[in-house]
Amino acid sequence: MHYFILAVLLFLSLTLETTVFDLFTFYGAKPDFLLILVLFYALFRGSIAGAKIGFIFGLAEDLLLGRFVGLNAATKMLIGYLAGFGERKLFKDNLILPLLVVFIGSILSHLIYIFFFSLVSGLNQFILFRQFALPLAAYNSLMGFIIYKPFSKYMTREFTSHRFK
Amino acid sequence: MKRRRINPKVVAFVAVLVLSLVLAFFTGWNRPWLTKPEALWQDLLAPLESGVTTITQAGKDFFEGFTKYNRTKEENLLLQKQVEELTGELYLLEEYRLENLRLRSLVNFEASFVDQRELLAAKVIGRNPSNWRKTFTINKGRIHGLQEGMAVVTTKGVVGRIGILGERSAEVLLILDHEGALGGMVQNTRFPGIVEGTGDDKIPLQMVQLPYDSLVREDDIIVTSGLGGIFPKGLPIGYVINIIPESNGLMKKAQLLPFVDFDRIEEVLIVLPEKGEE
Repeated sequence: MHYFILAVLLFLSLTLETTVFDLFTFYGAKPDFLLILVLFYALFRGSIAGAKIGFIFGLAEDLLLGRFVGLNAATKMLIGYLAGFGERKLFKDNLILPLLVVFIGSILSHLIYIFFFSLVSGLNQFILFRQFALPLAAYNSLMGFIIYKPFSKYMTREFTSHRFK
Repeated sequence: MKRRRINPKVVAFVAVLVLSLVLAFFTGWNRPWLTKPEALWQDLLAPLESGVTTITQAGKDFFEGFTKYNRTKEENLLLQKQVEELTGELYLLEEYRLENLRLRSLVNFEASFVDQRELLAAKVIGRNPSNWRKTFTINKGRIHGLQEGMAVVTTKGVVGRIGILGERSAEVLLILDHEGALGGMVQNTRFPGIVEGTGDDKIPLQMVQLPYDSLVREDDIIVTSGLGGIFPKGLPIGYVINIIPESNGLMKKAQLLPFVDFDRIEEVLIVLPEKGEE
């Protein structure tokens, strides 16, 4: 059931990103729902789980794009791993810290992506960093604010049901 | 001395990370093929995207109906006046067209591409999910006769080319993308150059590698040069808004605004190859 819901979230995120949110860009940036989900998931389940879901979600995105397959997978995997260090350190009912994680995570993932992209393509795209980083981080944080409550509720329920089964 | 144990999970993590990047390196530029799972994945999402896009568009149209009523009314009056003027002009143009045809047959001139090429209409059903690449997905694919590299246009100008091909959907690589560079030329002086995407939203296109003394001015119209074989010759791309020297002092580049409003494209036309060309 848990994996089914994650798959639905993956589908939903990709569909929303390719359709609805193309109409609602913020300074040219659109929210990266997959990244937000990876960050939150890592906060609840730790580094290894964060890296796993980051890799799978990133790969799904890569396969859809069809070029540089593995780039998003590597980026999201690394960012999921890093965000996992926040597990247990955060009070999950407090909204400020997860949003801070989304904000910093967005900027960091943007930077990692451009770094990896330069590595595999030989192109310098750091100009995009200056252009997108802040609007992207702000937009992601806003979306994170909306997603966090229901996500946290679901994850807590999942966790307890696993434990006491 | 006790050796420090390395966590096997960390080793696996680093290995997967490096493998991903290696994979990315080899799937980077100009992939001639698309693997089965990728095509399947793309086709799987296409109907969902199509549905959501239809609903979103309907919602947008519905609300725009209210917000734009007054503007529409004014526009309507203006347009009616224009229709009258243009109808008159049309008769004149029809005369010219017929005259042109007669003269062209006299000098045995090649017809313009629109007469020769067949066009296929397609709906834009999805945009690129990432912030980095400039592509979108259309609802036509291999079974509709599409091939990789076919030119995609609207009535306003060049849009891009077919990139990755699925069975029932295809990705269009926009000319705004850094991979979507194409050959262009200044319409009136026929001066050639390469038009490429800048990645910047405000000035999305630039024409590079122009010699310092080349005849390019602001407001010049840039059309496709037909070099490279993908785009037919003479399709409008955009117009020059600014000319700046390159850092080496020998070249200059022209900043362009495209004729096509890429944020608002809903339908595109795919230029099918000339009959017998394939």
